[in-house]
Order: sequence, then structure tokens, then C-alpha cells
Amino acid sequence: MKLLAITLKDMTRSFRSVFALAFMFGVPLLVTGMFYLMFGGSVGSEGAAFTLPRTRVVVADLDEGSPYFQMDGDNAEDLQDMGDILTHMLSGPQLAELIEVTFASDALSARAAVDRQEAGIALVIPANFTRAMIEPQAVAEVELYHDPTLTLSPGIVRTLVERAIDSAAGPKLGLGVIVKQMEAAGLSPDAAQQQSLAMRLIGDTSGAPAELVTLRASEGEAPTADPLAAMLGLIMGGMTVFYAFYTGATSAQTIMTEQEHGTLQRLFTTPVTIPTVLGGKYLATGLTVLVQMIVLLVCGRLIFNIRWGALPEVALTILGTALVATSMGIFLISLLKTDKQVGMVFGVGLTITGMVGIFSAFTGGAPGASSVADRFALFVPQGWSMAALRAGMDGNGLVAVLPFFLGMLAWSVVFFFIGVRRFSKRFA
Amino acid sequence: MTTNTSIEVRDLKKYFGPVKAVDGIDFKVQQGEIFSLLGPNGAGKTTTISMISCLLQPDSGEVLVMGHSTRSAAQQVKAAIGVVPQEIALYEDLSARENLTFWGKMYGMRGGMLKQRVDEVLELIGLTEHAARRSGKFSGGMKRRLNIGIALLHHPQVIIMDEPTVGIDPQSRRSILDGVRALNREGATVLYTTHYMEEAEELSNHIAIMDHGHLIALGTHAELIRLVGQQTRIDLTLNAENPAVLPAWQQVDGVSQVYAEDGHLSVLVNDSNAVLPHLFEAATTVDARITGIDIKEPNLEAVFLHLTGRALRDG
Ligand SMILES: Nc1ncnc2c1ncn2[C@@H]1O[C@H](COP(=O)(O)OP(=O)(O)OP(=O)(O)O)[C@@H](O)[C@H]1O
Ligand SMILES: [Mg+2]
Repeated sequence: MKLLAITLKDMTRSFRSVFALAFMFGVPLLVTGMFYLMFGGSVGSEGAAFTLPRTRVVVADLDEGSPYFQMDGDNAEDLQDMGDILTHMLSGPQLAELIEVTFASDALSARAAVDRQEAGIALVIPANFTRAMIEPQAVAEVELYHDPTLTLSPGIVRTLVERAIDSAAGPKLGLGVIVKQMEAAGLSPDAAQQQSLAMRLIGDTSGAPAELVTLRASEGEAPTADPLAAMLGLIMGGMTVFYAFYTGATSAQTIMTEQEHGTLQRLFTTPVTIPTVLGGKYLATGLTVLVQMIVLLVCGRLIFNIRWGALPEVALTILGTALVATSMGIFLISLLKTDKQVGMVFGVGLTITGMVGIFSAFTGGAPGASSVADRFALFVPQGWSMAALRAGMDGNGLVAVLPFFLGMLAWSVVFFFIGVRRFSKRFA
Repeated sequence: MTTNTSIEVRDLKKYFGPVKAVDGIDFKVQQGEIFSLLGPNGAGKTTTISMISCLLQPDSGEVLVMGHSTRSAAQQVKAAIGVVPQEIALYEDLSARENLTFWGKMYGMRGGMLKQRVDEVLELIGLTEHAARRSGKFSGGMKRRLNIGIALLHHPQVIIMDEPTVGIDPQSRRSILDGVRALNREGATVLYTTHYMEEAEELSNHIAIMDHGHLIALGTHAELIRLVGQQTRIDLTLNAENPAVLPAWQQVDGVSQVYAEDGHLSVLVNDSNAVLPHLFEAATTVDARITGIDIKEPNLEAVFLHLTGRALRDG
């Protein structure tokens, strides 16, 4: 079939172009990778090379300790319970560059300090914090209440809290407690038994601390699994959307370059109709965007551990984006008279609308600050694509993604008809 | 129209704003012949061909190809013709074979038949060894040959070639001209445009000379030569410009026409031997000194000069 032959030819050509490939896959991955190295590196290693703005953390340590929990007597700082250990860690010299810890007497005043913008983050350690560490069934909720404009520091503090529980408190202290309890019950485990207990504890607690902590933004954002991945998700999602629209235009641009190189005219000397040529090119562009997005999202999942949400939601987002990016490309290119004006389309048409559309990638999806941006974003098709992607990431189900998909569909129909009409007129 | 006419052009017109690119031309191309459209740059050759191959809508007039009107039966016309555009039109990031395969599909060919035909055409244009190379890496001559090969894939009844030998080395040019004749021997009708009169002379059964959108002459080579009455052209160069020499030569017996043409002067005569001495005498009377002479027996160049007062190659 001629249409498919045109599609195949166009796709072969664009996947042979090093330049196109670099734009399609290289740049979005590179940008996300840079963020990953910058922030991921500082979270992962104590000696952070990257300097972040210092964040004030106000801690309300309500931990009442536990009768079963005893620290070794020789600690200088007079640490009584898990809450003390955690606050001690956070105010330690290693983190001094990142966070500055102050104290509040209760949860309310801690939150109020954030609301008054005296602190960026309020950390509320609950009364049963230590007990929860020891009694396997008990669950304590460490609350992180943060300024909505902050995107990064809450994630970092959260990671720190997890690490504290994980490494320092978890297995080692747990083992001490158990041994004490066993001794109280008249049992005295030998070294080998203690070791096997320790192993079991490490095994048991490895997943547990994460459930102890919930990250809560002022307006109550849904919990996210991995703050770094969530941040990278927004950035990579934004990049994917941004460059998908570029691909939509570069492939449609082949209409212009083929005209300039005479191959389009040559096509029209063969028994092939204008709709077939346009259709073949439209399909090629759509499929190219589809391939690009799938590859990028899969890479994001594999390399950066980003969770894009359930398959149907993501599929719908990709499909909608491919449609609207392609139609927008055809629309924009149809406005041009010569190949030379293409710079204008990319500069004004795609860069500016793209930036507006994916603005939420940079506000980190935090409510408040980005709600204005979010509303603005819906003035451009990229915004709808980004919103669909985020709805999928937030795990709000197909129903949340569907309106954005339909929005993209509407944009596509309008762009497609205007674009195709203008092209048909030009070649008639 | 008669059944053995391949292309019929009737009172064809195409204006681009003030430019009358094609201004009312008529001609017929018989089945199985090579028909040349000869004319200088800007004569309207490409515009004419574009209308025949359905790329441009005529402002008025009509084109029939194999009996099909370009207006009402464009698809049938397109299926019957193979067009070699003046500007090379290839996908440079595809190999020679990929190009041929793609264009073959555009002509509705497929499968084993297409593959076999692609091999045949590669052989025909001498690119079999380079079939897998990207055409962007080809030399100018190789690109030209591939540009032609694409138009031959579907065994078109009519092959339309727009200046297919422009800008290539003599060897490639030779092989293209031989190729055109071979295709013609196999039964294809060829419409060939050129501004090289030697090509038109060598190839064509009929030649139409085009200038400023008009056909100024049409016929066989012999018929056209007869138009200038077997006259010989003498090109003369002077040591310095001398406007008085033209009227002086015009007075010489046996001179039918005198033209000034950038740097040299041309004189049309019936018998160069008889006239030449008198040209020297006349030059002396006006103090002009002849430093160069070139005698040209009648050819299409002379026909063009005779009809337009200008040399063909300069437009
Ligand atoms: N699309 C166009 N728009 C405006 N003017 C045009 C267009 N195409 C051709 N012309 C003009 O029409 C005239 C005939 O052009 P055409 O290309 O048909 O000449 P040609 O005989 O093919 O010349 P060449 O030997 O240079 O290819 C020229 O004056 C040219 O400038
Ligand atoms: Mg031309």
C-alpha cells in the first residue's frame, strides 16, 4: 500500500538522522540524567558536592520512649529514645549545610512555623515513635509538613529520616531490645543465636521504615514512593512531552524539505494522491512520536526508577500526545511558506508553548505555586499532555486521565483540519 | 486525435504574474519517437513539462497524454508517464536500491516483480555495484543516472526528461544519451528537453524550438536547417569595438544578416568562400581589424539565431 510505503520511508529517514535521534532521545535523557546526578548524588552520599539552599526544619519531638528501650549508658548527648536519635542525626554537623534544625513544643506550633514561613519543613515525631520501632505491630506516623513551594528539601529530609530509622535505629537497636526481653524472660541467647536474630531483623525491617513515614504537603498531596524518582518523573515527563512536540514538527517538516528538494513534486508525478501522501506522512510522524515516548518512558522507568502509573493511563497519554503533537506539527508547518521560516516555528511555536505546557515539571507539582501555572498550561496542547501524564503518575485512575485525553483529541482535530486544508490548497 | 499520437498539446498557456512562461503552444509527439524541446534558459521548457506531467494546472489550453486529459484523468496520465525532473529528486539518506524500491511502490509495483525490476534498472543505469550505498554519497553523474532510473521502473509508455544531462561529465552524458536511444528502440516515446542543440540534433525525430514561451519552429532536423536556407554563419572578432563595421558588412554582396553577439559579430552568408574577402575589404574601409574567424556550417544554432537574432546558448 502506497500510504504505508510513504510512512516506512519517512520513518527510515528520521531514524537514520543522527540529529533527529539526538533530539528525540538524547536530550531528554541527558537532562533527566543531569538532574539525577545533581540531586540523586547529594541524597545518596554524605559529602554532597552540590550545594542546595539551606532549609529550616522545625522539629516537634513528641516521642515518649519505651520502657523496653534503653540506650547504652555511655552516650554523651543524653539520648533517651528514637526521637532523640533522629533529631540528633538531623542536627549533626554533616547535614549542617543542608538543614538547620529548630525545635517546637508540639505539632501545632511546628506547623504554624511553616505556615508563617519561618521554617520550610515541620517534622513531627509522634509519641509512639520508639514503641513502634520495637513492637512490630505498632505503626507510628512521622509527619513531614512542608512549604508547598519547596520541592526538593522535603524529599531530602524524608530520605534522611528513612535512613536514620533504617541504618542506625532499625536492626541494631531492635536486636538489643529483643535480647533484653529474652533475658528478662530467663533466656540467654548465645552469639550464634544473636547473629541469626540480627539477620532476621534486618530482613524484617528493610521494608518497614518506609511505612513509618508519610510525606504530607500542606494541602495533602498523595504519598509518593520515592521522592527523587517522583521529582525526576516530573522532569523527565516534562522533557518527554516537550520533545514529543518537537518530533511532531520535525517529521511534518519533511513536507517542507521534500518540497525544497523536489521529491514532493516528483511524488505528485506518480499516480499517488495528495491525501495518501499527507496520510503517510501523518502516520509516520505519529508513530515516530509513539516510539519516542515509549522508549523515553521505559528508559525513565529502568534508569531512574520513575513510576509512570498504570498501563492504560500511560497508554492513553502517549496516544493522545502522539495525535496532538503530530497535528500541531502539521498545523504549524502549514503556516510556513519556505523552509527558512522553520526556525520561527521551533523558536516561538514550540519552545514557548512547550515551556508553558510543562511548567509544572519545574514547580515540582507542588500545589499552590503551580496551580496558576497548571491553569496557564492548559492554554497550550503540551499542558494537556503533561496534565494527563501527571494524572497517571498520581495514580488517580483512568477517569482522571480521560478528560485530558479528550482535550488532546479536541486540539488534534482542530489542528489537523486547519493544517490539512492549508496543505491541500497549496498543492492543489 | 489519431491513435498513434502520444502527447498532444493544444494552445497551452501558463503565466506567472507578468511572466508569460508558456504563451500558447501547440505540438504533437508521435508514438515511438524522440521529440526534443530545445530552448535557452527561461524559454518555458520546464513549465511546459510540468503541465504535461500534471504538476501545474494550465491557465488555458489542453494536454492529452495517451488520449487522457491532464485535467480530467490525471491519474491515468501519471500512470502512463515516467518523469525525470531537471533538479535531481532523490532521498539522499536512502540507498540506490531503497530509492528505486520506494518509487516503484509509488507506481503501484510490489513483491518479486518490483524486486526484479529494481535489479534490472540498477543494471541499466550501471549502479548495481553501488546499490546499497546511500545516494547522498554518490557523484553528480551517479545521482543523475539514479534520477533517470526512477522514471523507468514501471515501463512507462512515455518518458519525459527535463535536461537530464545538465552538469555532468562527458562520459556520463554519453551513457545517458545512449540509454535514451536504447529505451526508444524498446518502444518508449521520449519527450526530451535540452538547451544543447547537439543533443537535440543527435537524438530527435522532431525538434521544437522554444523561446519566451513560444514555439518558434518545429520540424525534423532537416526541415529546420532548410529554414535558414542552407546559410553558413561566420563569427568574426575585431581588435577593438567598432560600430561602423556592422552597416559596412550589411552592404557586402551575399550577406543576408549581421548580428552583434557578446564580443564577436556574426554574419549569415550563402557562400563563405565568395564573401569572406569582401568582409575584410569592408572592415578596412571603416578602420576595423579582424583578429578571429570561425566558420559554422548550418545547424540548429544558426536556425535559432536566424529566428531570434540571438545565440541559443546565451538565452
Ligand atoms: N513558479 C514560478 N513562479 C514564477 N515564475 C516562474 C515559475 N516557474 C517558472 N517561472 C518563470 O517562467 C519562465 C520559464 O521558466 P522555465 O523554468 O519553464 O524555463 P526553462 O525553459 O525550463 O529554463 P531552464 O533551461 O533554465 O530550465 C522563466 O522566466 C521563469 O523565471
Ligand atoms: Mg527548465
